[in-house]
Amino acid sequence: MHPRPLVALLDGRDCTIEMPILKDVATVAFCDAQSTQEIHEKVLNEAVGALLYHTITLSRDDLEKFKGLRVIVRIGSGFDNVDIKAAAELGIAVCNVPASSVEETADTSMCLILNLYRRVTWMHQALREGTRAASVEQIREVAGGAARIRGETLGIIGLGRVGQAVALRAKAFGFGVIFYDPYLPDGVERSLGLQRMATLQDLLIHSDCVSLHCSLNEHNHHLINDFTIKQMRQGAFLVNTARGGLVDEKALAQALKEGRIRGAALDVHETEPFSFSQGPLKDAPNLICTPHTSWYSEQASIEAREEAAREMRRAITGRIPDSLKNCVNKEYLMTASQWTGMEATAVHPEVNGAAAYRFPAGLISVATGGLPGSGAGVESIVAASLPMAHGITPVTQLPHTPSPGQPTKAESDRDNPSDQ
Amino acid sequence: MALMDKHKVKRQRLDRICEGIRPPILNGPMHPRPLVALLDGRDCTIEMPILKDVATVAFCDAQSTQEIHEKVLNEAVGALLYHTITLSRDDLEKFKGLRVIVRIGSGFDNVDIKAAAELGIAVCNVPASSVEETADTSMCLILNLYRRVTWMHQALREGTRAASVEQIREVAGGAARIRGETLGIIGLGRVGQAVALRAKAFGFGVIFYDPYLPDGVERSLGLQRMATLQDLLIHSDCVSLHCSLNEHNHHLINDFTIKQMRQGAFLVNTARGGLVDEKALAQALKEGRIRGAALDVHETEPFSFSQGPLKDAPNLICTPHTSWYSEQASIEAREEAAREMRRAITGRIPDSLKNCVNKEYLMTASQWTGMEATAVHPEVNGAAAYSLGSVNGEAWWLGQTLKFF
Repeated sequence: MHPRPLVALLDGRDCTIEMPILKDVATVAFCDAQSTQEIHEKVLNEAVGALLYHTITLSRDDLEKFKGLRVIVRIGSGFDNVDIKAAAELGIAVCNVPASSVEETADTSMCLILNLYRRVTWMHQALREGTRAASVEQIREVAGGAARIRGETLGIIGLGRVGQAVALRAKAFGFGVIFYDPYLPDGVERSLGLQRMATLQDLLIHSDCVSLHCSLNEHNHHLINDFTIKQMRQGAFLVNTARGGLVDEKALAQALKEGRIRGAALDVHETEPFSFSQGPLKDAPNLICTPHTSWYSEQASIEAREEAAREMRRAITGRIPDSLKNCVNKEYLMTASQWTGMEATAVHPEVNGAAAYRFPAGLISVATGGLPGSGAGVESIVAASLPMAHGITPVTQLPHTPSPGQPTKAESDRDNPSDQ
Repeated sequence: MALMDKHKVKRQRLDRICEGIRPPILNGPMHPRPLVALLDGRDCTIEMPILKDVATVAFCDAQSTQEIHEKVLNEAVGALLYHTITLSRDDLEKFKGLRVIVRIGSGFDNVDIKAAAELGIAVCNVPASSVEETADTSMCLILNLYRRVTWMHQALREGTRAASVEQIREVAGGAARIRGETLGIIGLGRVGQAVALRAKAFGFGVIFYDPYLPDGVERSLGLQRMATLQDLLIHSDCVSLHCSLNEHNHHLINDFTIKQMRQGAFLVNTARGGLVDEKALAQALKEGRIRGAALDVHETEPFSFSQGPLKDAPNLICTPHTSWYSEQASIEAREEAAREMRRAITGRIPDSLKNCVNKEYLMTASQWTGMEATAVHPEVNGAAAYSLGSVNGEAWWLGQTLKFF
């Protein structure tokens, strides 16, 4: 009976921030899954919206498991873990939250760069392990490798929001900053007073420290590999707070062991969660690693979750993709789908707090602009988040009143007849 | 011999000049190059090329004056030192011929500069070489407190796994947004200014307290000046020390002043360990009144996590007095120190000195006017002659020099 659409947090448990924003327009559930195998059938069948972090992957096959999904919102900026083209072909809009962690990530990136140049992390570790440095000769020994920054060249790959923030911070330390970004129009370098390199190779050749700030896509997997590492300067530094897939860790490990790369600081890894005792990097020297935390501050986390919930709300209560603020596969959606922008009627909250809605599942068009069943005493639905780790407490059926003669893909898979 | 008579005359003249102040300096071999000793190190390779034609260079590798050879105590005219040896009044009085001390670095709190002046010893430092290294390390410590990189790397080393976002938030718990935070700088000298300008790039609001600077410095750099230490402590989310240690500011950060700080503030110290009462800091860290501290300098050095008042304190990042170091800075400081020593030997003390830190005490303490040293006359076979202190500028030819290492 026209329940609210089901919105599921796929790879988390905590919905406390999202609830106040969504509870009057949706039913919110969480799955706490690490793969779609772990997602309950109810969610696969009924979820209209999905919220997710970076710890679950949605490939084409994964997306096809969902029967009613219309919108995916990534709580964060990277969306390489979602096949956005396949999503578009399936009529699913994908959104992200690009702004919340820009400065946190830039600040952490600078911290990693400074830890490579000034060696604070390694020296603290040495002190923890009992090293004593009494004389100046011993001090020089334990600090050996600590380098002057002024005059060094920092090469930024990807001058997006984070890359720009890093560039401006690095300038304050006396870095000469260069960047490579094939997607930006001419002139950005003039705005910020940086030097632009025409090719990746140019950047690698001229950098003392390389920092990755590009998103991961089908063109740049293992951007940093054996071949490109050999284009880097002897003894250069590498920093990665972007995506693990950009770096071939076997090649990096080899370069670290041979000293071709003097040190690397990585917040992201090919396999996460990262462990020093496993994987290609396990015996590599001169490594600083953090567990995908460069984005985090309490404020950034809350802001991202609130913005994701608001985007989800816009999707539910507005038009997909027109009402969406940060839809990342809009162009694919428009071309892939046969239907035009779907309309969803506004939510009409009722006196008793229960909300009725109409969700544009599949190809339902709302001819009348009214709500099916509205005025007929819509059942109130508990909108509280239902703990549904691997099972869902009963949720009233989602209404599907197909337009006459228009079977929908989603429709045909539903095992419950409409109650029309 | 005529030569000996001539030297006797010179010596008597010197005696008259130094009358009532110091006895004649040399009592060893006849007029060798003045002895310059590196007190608390072994390596003189950088200093040698700059000094070898005007001085004999020796190293002591001592941690206290007790370990210094009598020959050096008796004969050294110049002393080079780092921060790892202390020269109190008593220590200085052990030296019989010392005229100039050059600190290879910027801090000179380990030398009693007033006592030195009273004894006719000029003290110099090298203030410029490590300014940016220290500022960069200070920023690195501040960022490690806010972004927790050092602690999270340590956790990973110890086997922590953070798979889900909830676990990530847990391991990163405490990592804070920087924009809008207030950084309070105590001491806006060379390093303090460099830190202030870097911090601004991260979105810190920067305030400072410095009772020695004239009005208007805050306008030059666009910072906010606080009139009192208390004002600064009250308004800071993170406090960073960049002042030198002197007789007025020992334990500047103590139980009382820590209680003026904000609940959960951060503390950073790359200046001098003596500025912070470590017992009080340890207590504040344990109670969470200070959320985290990052220290490159300590009351007792070398620092060890297993000893001292801080040994059980949580939320601590420590480095072993290394914020100054880069290979370039080290070489630059040593070269500049050697050049200052050379200026002392070949010129007038204190007039020829570029970075004399006790000049005003020297002028008042001593009765004698600036001493002159004649120029060095290198000889064909490589041996050099020199003269230390001759009022009329006459050069004395001297015999072969001695080397001590």
